[in-house]
Amino acid sequence: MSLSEDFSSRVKSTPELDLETTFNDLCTLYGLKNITYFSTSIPYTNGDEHTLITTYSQTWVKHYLNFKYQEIDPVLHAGSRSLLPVDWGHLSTTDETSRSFFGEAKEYGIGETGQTIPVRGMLGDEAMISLNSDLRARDWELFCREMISDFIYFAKLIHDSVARPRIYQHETGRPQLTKREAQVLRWAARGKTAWETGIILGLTEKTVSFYLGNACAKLKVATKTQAVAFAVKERLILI
Amino acid sequence: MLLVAHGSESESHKHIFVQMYRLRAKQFSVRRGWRVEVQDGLERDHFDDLNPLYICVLGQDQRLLASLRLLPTTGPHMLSDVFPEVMGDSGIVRHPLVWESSRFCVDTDAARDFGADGINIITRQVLAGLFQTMHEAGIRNVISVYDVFVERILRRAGCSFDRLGPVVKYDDLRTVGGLFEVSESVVSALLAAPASAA
Repeated sequence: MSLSEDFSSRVKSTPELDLETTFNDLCTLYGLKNITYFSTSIPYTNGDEHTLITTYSQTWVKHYLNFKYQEIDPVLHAGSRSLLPVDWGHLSTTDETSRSFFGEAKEYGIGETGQTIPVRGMLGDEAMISLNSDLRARDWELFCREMISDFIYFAKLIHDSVARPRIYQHETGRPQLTKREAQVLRWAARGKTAWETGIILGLTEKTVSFYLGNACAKLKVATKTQAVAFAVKERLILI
Repeated sequence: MLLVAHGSESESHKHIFVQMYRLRAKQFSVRRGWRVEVQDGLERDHFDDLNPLYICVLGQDQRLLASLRLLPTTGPHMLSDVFPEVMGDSGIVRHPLVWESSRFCVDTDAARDFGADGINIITRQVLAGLFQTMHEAGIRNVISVYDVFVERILRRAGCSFDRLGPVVKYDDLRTVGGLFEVSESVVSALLAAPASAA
């Protein structure tokens, strides 16, 4: 199971899911050391409202905030200026401040490698999800190459479940599928593959997969199976 | 040379960014007559304020030869905010692994070399830069609005794509929304530049 699929099924099956506990579970299952969600920008607030959900120790978070490390943290700095995932190994950490920052973080039990995924919403909301690891640089790089798309999607799902209910309050109703999204889901529910659906609808297999992906993103799930189950349960499609 | 830079880096690449806004003004406003806003010979819109990612091809003496702009579809982008009608039944896309490419332009006065396949070498380089950057970042698809007449060029260069909606006319321009595949094979096809025709 992918990280995204696992997370999504937990969110869908448990109404008031405790995210910190969930992050801890996922760390154990997927070989990560820490998972952190940090909202950097929330619209309609005066800018100093942030949400932090993390598996880092309380003592590190306290120490970090006490010493205002948000001002020198190279990860935060790079992540807030990027749209692409930032690998901690590619940060310039040659200066004394960054070196001692990572040195201290290590003393507080933070792994030496990591990846930070920036998330951007449509109303100016922004967040960062950091995945931290104990792997050595080379192994982490190979792991990330394999997992990067899953990490990005996972980051979106976390932001959806944390920030969305607050920011997108007008979205209280049922999600609206487009004509194409509903069509491909209906055929998927009847057991058709993307290729077969493509033949039926006169689309390429890749385009069908694209619409299925868009439907998944809208329904906040990670797989076709999850999307069908949710759409049927919520009566978004009729089989 | 390829430059991949965010809007947040515009100060350290000031010279390149100014060339890009100027090239866009020349290509879009002067040459193709699009109704874009040009100030002091520079074309910029509010999407440029959203810290997009730019792919630029530079020639000798840091001269800009081609550029394009990338935005994640989860945030504001042109196909959601400016011309959703080209998306037809597809509707607006909001997916973290789908990015939008816009403001694609090549300085045709400076980029005059063509490969044996008839594709401008700089056009190929900027496309290769786009798909390679997206592929390395784990992105699965790029969507973009393009003029119908460039479809053949894109196909011949090695891009793999489908139309998403109907052909829509803006003034005299026939445009269409495309769904582009980001994959190892597309990157290889774009990088496998044939020998120069010269």
